[in-house]
Amino acid sequence: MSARTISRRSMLRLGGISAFAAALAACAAPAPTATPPPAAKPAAVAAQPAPKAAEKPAGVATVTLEFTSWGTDNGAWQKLVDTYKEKAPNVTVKLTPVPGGDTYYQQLQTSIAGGAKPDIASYQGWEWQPYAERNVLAEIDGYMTTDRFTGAWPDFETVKTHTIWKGKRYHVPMQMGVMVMLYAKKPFQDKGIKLPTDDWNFDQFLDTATKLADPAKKQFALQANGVWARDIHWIRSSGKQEFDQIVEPKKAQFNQPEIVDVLQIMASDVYHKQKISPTPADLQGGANTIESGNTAMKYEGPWFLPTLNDPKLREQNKAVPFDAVMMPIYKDPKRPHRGWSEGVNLLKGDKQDAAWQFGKFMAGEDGQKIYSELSGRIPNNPELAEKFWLPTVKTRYGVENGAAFLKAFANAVPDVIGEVSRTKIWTEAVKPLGWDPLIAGSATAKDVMPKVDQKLQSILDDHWKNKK
Amino acid sequence: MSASVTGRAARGPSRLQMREWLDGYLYAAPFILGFLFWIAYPMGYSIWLVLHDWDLLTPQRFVGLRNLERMIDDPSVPLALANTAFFALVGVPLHLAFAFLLAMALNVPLRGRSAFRTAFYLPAITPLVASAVLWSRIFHPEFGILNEFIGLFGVPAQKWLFQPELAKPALILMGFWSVGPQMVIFLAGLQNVSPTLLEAASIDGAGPLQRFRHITLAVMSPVILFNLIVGVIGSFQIFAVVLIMTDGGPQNATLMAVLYIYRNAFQFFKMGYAAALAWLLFLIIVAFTALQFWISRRWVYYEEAR
Repeated sequence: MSARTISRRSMLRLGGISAFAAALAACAAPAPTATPPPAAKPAAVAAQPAPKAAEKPAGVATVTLEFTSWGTDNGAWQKLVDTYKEKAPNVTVKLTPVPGGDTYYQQLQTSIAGGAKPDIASYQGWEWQPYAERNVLAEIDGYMTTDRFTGAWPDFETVKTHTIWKGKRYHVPMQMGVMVMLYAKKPFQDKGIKLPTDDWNFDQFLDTATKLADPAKKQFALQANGVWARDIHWIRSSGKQEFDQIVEPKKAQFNQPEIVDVLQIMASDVYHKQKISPTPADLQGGANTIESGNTAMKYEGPWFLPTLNDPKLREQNKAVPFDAVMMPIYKDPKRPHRGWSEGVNLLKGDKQDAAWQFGKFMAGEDGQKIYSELSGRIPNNPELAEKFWLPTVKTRYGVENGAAFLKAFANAVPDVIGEVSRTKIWTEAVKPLGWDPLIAGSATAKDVMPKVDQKLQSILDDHWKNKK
Repeated sequence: MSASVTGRAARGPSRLQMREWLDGYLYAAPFILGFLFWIAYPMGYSIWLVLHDWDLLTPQRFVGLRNLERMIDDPSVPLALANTAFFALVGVPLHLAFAFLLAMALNVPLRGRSAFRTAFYLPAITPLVASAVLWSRIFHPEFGILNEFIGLFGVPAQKWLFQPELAKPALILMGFWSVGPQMVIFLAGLQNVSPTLLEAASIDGAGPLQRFRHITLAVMSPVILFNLIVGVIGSFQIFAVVLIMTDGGPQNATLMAVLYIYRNAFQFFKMGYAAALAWLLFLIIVAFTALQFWISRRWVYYEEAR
């Protein structure tokens, strides 16, 4: 070995140092941008006069907005983003669709915690309140006043409940959410049964369902939803509610005779006594559903319309001719239906103004037309719904009685709203102690509702105790 | 060759020794730094989180031992631990026994042995999510092939993942599909069983069962211990399969410890409480592992120790 050559040891040492330095360089984390500082001037933001209302500020640098959306909604969000780009060329909206469901909020919350929060995000009307409480969301009252943009908030109690928190408005509705009974026409026609009408009652509904069902042939009448959130409709139409108050409940009240009776039927007997509904086991893998033609009715919302019948499905010969009808009249003469606002919220940050302009576009007439046409959802106010949603659902989805949705929304009641999330209520108490044994047929509603109340009460008590 | 050591030792390490040490630390530096950054720091942070409430949106709030107190009062904790223990303590021995039998069978010199070994190992490299979806179909109460199969023997169709009594056994049944890695390790261990010993035992009149028990099992005992420990640790951490297939149901029959930790962390946003639960699980796993090591002194035979 000559004196000039590098020894193997030195070579290895150099290689190791280089690799280590390269790894350090590669792992260098970017400085976290604004990790959520909860004490970031909330009072100052609230007191600010409304920001400028200029739609298309001239000579302003380009802005990039991050938008986390609830799924793709049949391409509606992307179309909105693309259309807005034409209207505001200096604004680029980067769309991140996240599949809807529980995972949506997990991803959203962790992205906020990780310093990668969006500027505007989809929220269901009952889920954004904890974020507002923790100073993550921007109030929009000032924007609404300056721009005189109020049409997206029609005068319904449920819209107020879902868009205002502690006297301040945060939520921009993209739709009036409501659910009614969708029914496939063929099972009725095959059995010679009269199609349901809006004035039907609960006994007629059960009677019709019994006639429709033939479990031995895997023909079912009602695709029961099997979850408390959707069975809230039956609870409320019994004339009672399962909490002392709908906003920030303090007391669990599932164990009331009227609620026990209706849940015994709708969460258990439909599977095991009347046998008019497919069980979750029957439904696994998409079998025995209304889409597959095995079930005649399902309690659903307008987002479901494209699933049953739209131009693409008709081309493929897979469309299910169907229509809609209000939920049957039960004990409450006011005939409540579950109804809410669902839309977007602005997250606090230096792009709030630009995010508001984009949100305003989406919630305005042009945006609503795009959104409701592609998603099937009802626009955020009744005038727009009459103007283009009703005609669209008829031509696009074959729904003759789209008015049922609007009539139902007129009687809308909220689910439950508060800092104790619906997910926690459902996962920790209501599902394992209530709905699971009911659906399995291993206990009655009379047995399980006291346990549900007990567990739920401990969760609520724990929350309020820690809040003090 | 170094000179007398006495004088040098009093003066500390030589320059050469220091260089060697430096080289060693340099080469180990990536691992050491990675360990500190990716393992030690998160572990330390999670201990700190145990004493705090944190919902990801607001700063952590010191709450002292409240998370530990909550853990004691929370009925879901013993339930989740019991479910996990059932899965681990019933499933692992069964899986190991099956893997061992497979290894014994595949140790026999037969044609196509490599293909069989590959086939049995393949499920281990299938993505977990894909496996979970596949097995959901296999367990389907109406269309699943498992019910078709048991129907051939006159057994009525079962609701598997929809029946609380059957959900955990169904997950254990699914575990048999992925015993490939344990089988491979057993196969490697079986190569150490000396044929000479077996032959000598046979000459001395030992029957097949005696040879298996006193020679094969004895020689394989360290490998069995390894697989047992690794298997129990892995089973205690079951998560993805349960999340996809049952989400803890029906009626919390498959609510496993890690799933409960995940729920508290990412669904209920109680990171402090989730950290406390995670540490509880960690301590239980450590205790189980220590227990296994302690018991192993009675039944594990180490050839080198003789």
